[in-house]
Amino acid sequence: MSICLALIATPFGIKYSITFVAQTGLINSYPVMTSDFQFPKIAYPGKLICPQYSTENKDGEDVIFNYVCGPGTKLLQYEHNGTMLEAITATLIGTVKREEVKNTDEEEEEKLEVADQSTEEEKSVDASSSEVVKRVVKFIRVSVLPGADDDGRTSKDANNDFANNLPKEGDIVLTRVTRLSLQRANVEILAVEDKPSPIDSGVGSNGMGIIAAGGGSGAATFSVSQASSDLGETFRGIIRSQDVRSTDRDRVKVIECFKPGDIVRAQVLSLGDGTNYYLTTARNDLGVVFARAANGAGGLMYATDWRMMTSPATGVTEKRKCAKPF
Amino acid sequence: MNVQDRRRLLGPAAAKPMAFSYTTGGEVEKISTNTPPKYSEGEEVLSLHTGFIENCNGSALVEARNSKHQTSLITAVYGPRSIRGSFTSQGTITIQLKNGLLEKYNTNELKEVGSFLTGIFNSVVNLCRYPKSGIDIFVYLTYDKELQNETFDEKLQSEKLFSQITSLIPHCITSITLALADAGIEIVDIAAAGEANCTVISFIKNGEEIVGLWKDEGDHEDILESVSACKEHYKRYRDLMISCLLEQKNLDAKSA
Repeated sequence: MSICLALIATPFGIKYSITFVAQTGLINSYPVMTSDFQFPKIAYPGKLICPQYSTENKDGEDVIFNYVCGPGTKLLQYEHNGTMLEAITATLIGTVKREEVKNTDEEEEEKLEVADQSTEEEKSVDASSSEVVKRVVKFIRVSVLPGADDDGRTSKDANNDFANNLPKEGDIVLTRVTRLSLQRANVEILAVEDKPSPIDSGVGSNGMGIIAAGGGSGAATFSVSQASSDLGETFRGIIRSQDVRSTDRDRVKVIECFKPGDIVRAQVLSLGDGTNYYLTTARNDLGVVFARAANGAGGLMYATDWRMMTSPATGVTEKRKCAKPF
Repeated sequence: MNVQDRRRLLGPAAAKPMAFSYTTGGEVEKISTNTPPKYSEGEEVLSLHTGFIENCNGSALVEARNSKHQTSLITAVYGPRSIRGSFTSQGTITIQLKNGLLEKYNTNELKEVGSFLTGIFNSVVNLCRYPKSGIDIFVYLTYDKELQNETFDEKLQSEKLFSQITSLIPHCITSITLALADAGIEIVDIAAAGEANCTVISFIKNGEEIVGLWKDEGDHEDILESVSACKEHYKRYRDLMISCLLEQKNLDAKSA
């Protein structure tokens, strides 16, 4: 997209107006910004989906669509007539899905009046109110969903595609404790809580709010790894003692927080070292969600407060760092 | 030394595994996609199947036959799996070729082809999506036969061997690309290759970018001619692969 800045000399000074110049012709039959630009319904690897930007003039407003790569897409460079152009390209087979991204950092609909814009070159320019053009920037995430129908509806089943949902920084994961030491708990990652959540899945399904312990409607967004834990093929993680809780961090006793076999909801801090992800449970909704009493020999226990679990059958209590269940 | 397994919670010592009744005849392998053989001007018949091996993430069977030569390849993709050891911020690909038949190609030759294919798919797979992971690809050569009359001239035999291994590489690339797409592993484009004059050239982006070049001994030196011939093959294979994958996709959507 090229923005054409036209300077108009008038008896009262210099006015300017911004026009968006539609650039046509990307690769073969792919126009960049013509109005008849169509999104493909089905995409396969290498299929060009859309350009990075497109514009539309609606009711005197310029709407700029900024397309962002979602899962199953990648922004790639293509050469066309000697110029490099960027286009969002599919990397999976499936149906194309578009959704507007609510940008939390900025205003989701950034309405800018050209007269208020004050870039350096424009500071010297005397703006006139008669030349005001409204501009709306919309961020659209484009993704290719392998499991979706042709209509674009996703299936009811939880997303089972662990391969394309590998744990990354900030993700919420379900893990099982495999080993304890004074400094850390070693865990294996069983599932990743999916980022995109269905609309009706309740609060917290995207990991931001409070969620029922392994239950509630939010549980539908857990994808279970197809890697069998018996084969040692799962991703491993470490919860260091100082990452177990956010208060009194230097007095954490790992053995009073986790036991081998516990199912722990944790958040990924970093990709860690060669073998392990670094995880944390220093949040109210993170910690042990399932645990058995007596080192796994007893029954399932329930959290009574944030550091105590009780077995309803025997009444025995054990210490854990529990996730807030409700 | 009494070594006790303290790492896992074991059941009672006398526990027996559960026995299930023997399943009879239910294990017939399922071929989900079966594209009818396509005929081209070069008389080569290509048959593509995907997703017929249950215990891997993606699989593909490529069978090719022309008047001289018949080949059949099975590819299985496992992963992305966690890899231990040094940290990798992006995925690692390993490709192994195995000769399922006679010792027709020696191991070194197959290893060489394997590393050539690894080089291609390092630039085709969207590796940054798979940190700390490895993608393992196994290509199994199930059938490979000359259909011409056997000759006993050694020189001719060795020349034929060269032409054979080069004629095999495009099919390897086809089957790996199909298996990766079947596994749902992100690839930036459908990679395919063509063979001409003992030269194999692999393309992506509608033939605009070359991702691999394999040159064997041959008397043909005009590389540009080979490029254009390979590009023709590439386009044909790519279109076949896309139609095969989309056919499978539509079938899946109908059955769901």
